[in-house]
Amino acid sequence: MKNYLRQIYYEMRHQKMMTWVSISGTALSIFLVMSLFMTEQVKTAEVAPESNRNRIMTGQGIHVTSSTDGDGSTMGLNPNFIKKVYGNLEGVEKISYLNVWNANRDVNVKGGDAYSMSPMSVDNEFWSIYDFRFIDGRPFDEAEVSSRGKVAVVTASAARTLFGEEKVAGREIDVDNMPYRIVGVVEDVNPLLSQTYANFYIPYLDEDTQSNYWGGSVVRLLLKEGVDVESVKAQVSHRYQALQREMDNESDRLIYHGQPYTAEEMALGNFGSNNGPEIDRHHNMMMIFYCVLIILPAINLSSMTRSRLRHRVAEIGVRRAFGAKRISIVGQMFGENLIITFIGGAIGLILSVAFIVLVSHLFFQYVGGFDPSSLLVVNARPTFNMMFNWQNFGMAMLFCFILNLLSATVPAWRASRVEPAVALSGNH
Amino acid sequence: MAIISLKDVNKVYRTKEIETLALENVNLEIQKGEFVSIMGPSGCGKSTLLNIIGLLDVPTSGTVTIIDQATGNMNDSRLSEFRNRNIGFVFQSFHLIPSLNVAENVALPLAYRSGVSAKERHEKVAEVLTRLGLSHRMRHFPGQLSGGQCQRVAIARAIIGNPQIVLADEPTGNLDSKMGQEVMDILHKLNKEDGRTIVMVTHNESQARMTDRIMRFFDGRQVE
Repeated sequence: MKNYLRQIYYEMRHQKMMTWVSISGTALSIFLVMSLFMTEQVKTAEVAPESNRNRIMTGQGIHVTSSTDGDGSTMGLNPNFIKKVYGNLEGVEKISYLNVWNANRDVNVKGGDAYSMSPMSVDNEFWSIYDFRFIDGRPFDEAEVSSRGKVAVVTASAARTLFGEEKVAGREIDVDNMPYRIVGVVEDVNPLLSQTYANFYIPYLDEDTQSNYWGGSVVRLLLKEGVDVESVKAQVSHRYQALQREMDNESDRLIYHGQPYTAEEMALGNFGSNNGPEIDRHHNMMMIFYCVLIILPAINLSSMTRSRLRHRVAEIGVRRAFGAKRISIVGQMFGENLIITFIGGAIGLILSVAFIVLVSHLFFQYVGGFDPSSLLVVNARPTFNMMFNWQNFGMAMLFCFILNLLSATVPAWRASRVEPAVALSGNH
Repeated sequence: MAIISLKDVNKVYRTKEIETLALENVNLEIQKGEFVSIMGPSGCGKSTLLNIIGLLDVPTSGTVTIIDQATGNMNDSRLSEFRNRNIGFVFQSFHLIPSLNVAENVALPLAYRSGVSAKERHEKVAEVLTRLGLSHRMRHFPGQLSGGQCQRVAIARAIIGNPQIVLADEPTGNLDSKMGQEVMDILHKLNKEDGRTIVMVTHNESQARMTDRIMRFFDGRQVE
């Protein structure tokens, strides 16, 4: 190892251009791959209050075709529909109802200035599915939700904006001129956490309607530990079929699109009610991107490695003369190149983290679907915890290894095949 | 008893356009403990012969027997192991590895030999370098040494594995006469004191005359 490092140091001094191009090329490649990977990671990272993100599924939207009116769809569900389709599913630990329509509302303290703030209407189970950190007060309870109490939980930044302080439990605000009593204050939620981001939270308010399915709700399911999402989807699919049989005397037909959706599927964006998220297609696309980002630089780096080795043919000849087997030569060249690749990989990884933290808010702003015009959008930058985990690190190392394998193996193998006499004569 | 034996050895280099006969029907025997010089004009096949004896190249036809072992059927891995244990090389241009210091260059053959511990390696390096008067240069790099010192390091590398045969390809070719003489003295010492068999390619008639036997080549054929 010491000799490998010394050899690399020697090459850095004596073959500056080629060594630095190799390191830079690797760094750029890993930077691009990891930036892409971390951009994906942000959409599914488990960060408070969405610490159970990968156990949470969302039921939303319904696609109905009618023989009389043609195609119809909605993004909101009826509570009756939710109970029939999503109630008491095997493997589901908790179920939470939310209102789907959350347009900004005017919020003010009596007599004070009104601020446009982002609301979220949620039931009491919402607070147990997500791990909000309460600075003051408490979440609203089942009684307050069922009695449609005028209570609210506000975020710390909303509290500061309205009152100039955070400990405001028990105080009153007006939401669209309707008085609400603040029962709790929570820490701000990063706008990239689209399942929970809001400036304030009020009780869920949805009415049973005459319709079988239309409504204004979405549903979140917290799965038990280790439950396969596909088993939940299969149950929901059967419930759709059963509901369809109940509706056989009607002209409407329910179309199932793979609900409920995982956090990753939800992150694919607004795919509407008439289409499901095409997660396999997305995975395939990402895999193609990753492969292109690895293979193209690998081809270039391979040429670089070959050039670097060409300067060392005589050395290879000497090593062979004194007893090095071909496999030893390949192993040595591979090992040296691996270190160069890891140096480049480490630089690329650092660059990608810096890039995501410092610059990426420019294009992350719209990923979460929040309203960037809101006065209270304070920090849409992904945090380090949202991007980095050991799996990411392992992936980066794996990419480095693959890059090295692709770029070093062929030149090293070719170098080892040169006959010692030819290598020593300098005629190669 | 012959330690090196070549029978009917031919070496032909072929390209698309031309065939070059580098060695033609060479038959020779070198006895254990002999110091032999190979002489001849440039291009007569001296280095090719040395490469074949050193198992760095293979003959087009004929048999090569080194230390009673026919080498024709050895695969690359076996040849590497055989070279490592039995043959040391000294080159005209030293061929030291510039990124390694003197001690690491000298230790190279032992690095490719199984069963040698790091401690043992360090001890042998110190012993050989002391013998060649280079113990104070152990941590220096080749770029920091004179030509004569480089060649002494190369000799140390050639003998550290205790090979029976040392092959030297114009070992004084890049040195001035004083340094050249120093190197020759070392080679003679290795021959006399250690009983190593030495085969040396040289253009220097006076150095050749000091060896046990001179073999002369011309156009790939042994003429004397």
